[in-house]
Amino acid sequence: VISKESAGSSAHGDRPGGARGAAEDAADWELIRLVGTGDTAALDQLYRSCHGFLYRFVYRVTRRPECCEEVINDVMFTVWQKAASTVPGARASTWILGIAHNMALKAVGRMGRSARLELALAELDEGFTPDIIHAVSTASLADKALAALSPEQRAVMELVYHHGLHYQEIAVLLECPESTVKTRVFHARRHLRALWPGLVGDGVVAKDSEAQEIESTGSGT
Amino acid sequence: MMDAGVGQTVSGLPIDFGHSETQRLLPWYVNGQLAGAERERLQLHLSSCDACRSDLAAEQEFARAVAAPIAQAPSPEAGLARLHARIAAASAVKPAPKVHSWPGQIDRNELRWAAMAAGVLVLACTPLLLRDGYGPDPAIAGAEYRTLASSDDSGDARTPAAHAVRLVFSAGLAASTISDILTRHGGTVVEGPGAAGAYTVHFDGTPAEKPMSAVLAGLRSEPGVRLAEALQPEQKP
Repeated sequence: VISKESAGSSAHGDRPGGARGAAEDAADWELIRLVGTGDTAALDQLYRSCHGFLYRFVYRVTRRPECCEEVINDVMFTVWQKAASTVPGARASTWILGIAHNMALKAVGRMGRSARLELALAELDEGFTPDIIHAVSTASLADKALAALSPEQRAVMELVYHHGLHYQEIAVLLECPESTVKTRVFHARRHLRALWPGLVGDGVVAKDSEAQEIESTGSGT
Repeated sequence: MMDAGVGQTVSGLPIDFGHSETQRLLPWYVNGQLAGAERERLQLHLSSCDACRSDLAAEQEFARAVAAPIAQAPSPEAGLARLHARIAAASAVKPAPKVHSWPGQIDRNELRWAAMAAGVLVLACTPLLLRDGYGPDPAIAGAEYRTLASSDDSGDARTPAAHAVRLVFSAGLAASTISDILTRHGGTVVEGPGAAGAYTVHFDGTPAEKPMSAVLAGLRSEPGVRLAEALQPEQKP
């Protein structure tokens, strides 16, 4: 993992959640408080600590390595601006991921339709076919499969599977109802079913009339 | 954390979730976040449903694959230097909008984009500036830059000084191309263009992190750049 590159006592690597305890989170919020007072040394420490997981998250959402540093710059500049007025609520890393989520989606929006189409075509050209599953690295297959999703869906998948967040935490981060989070993840998994056999199995969905209900509930996809 | 009582009978035994709710919650069962009654109800369903157990296995494999390392992040240091330069520029511009070419107050939030837009506007206004004879003299831009960097606004004293460069682009170069070049090298227009078409541009990074010679070499490798020279004598290569 990327954590080896991080510095400072609260280094996150590429995953800030998981087993991190309340003490680490309190240390992160203290850093943010110091950043709010204009402490650039605290900003340096926070930046180095968050860079790994922000890079990964932004890459996952935008799929454009060349966008990552610019978005991270926007995220940390926003952190610098908001640090003084932010009251600790959720985990510090969740707060920063929420900013990153907005900034990454804005970056995708700035790409313009032609760039997004180009990206989609390039991914098709890579020749993804379901039957080569298990033949090469499952991690790169998962990465390619996620390319079939919208940036919003990729973001939420990353938050669930990589950051290990509860749907309640994701709802806070995305500022949306919990049902929207569940529905968005459900739709994403259904969308991936053809690329990753077994996700939301066909048999289960077909025989269960409740599944139709799932499709029509929740506000987001 | 969870609604512990939901879905349980008066006797306290959990009620099977059924397929649809199991399918909706499976990702959080796999990532270890489900607890209490939700977890019990889901496990009860799994114990009696072969199809969902099969899905669970696929879900676990997918979760592992998604969570695996995907991209090696570069060193954070270059980005950190750019952030400092941006903060310094944002702090400097606000109290000292002395640069008379700017068409109005710049929002700290949108500084970089505002700077690019301003560059485009300044280009469009160049004939007007020339006609009126008050175009800035690029020769004094270095002094102005130092004024900006030594502003006493909060944060400035701690932020490292960045590079100031005089930059002349090829004649007729599109404003968008100029913006692209500046973005690529982390530059922010501080002044210009003057009568000679020269800009004063502030580049990210301190001399310790990236020598002026490297900044200049990078700029000179751009086909659209005619001239790039250091404005602060002590930083000349």
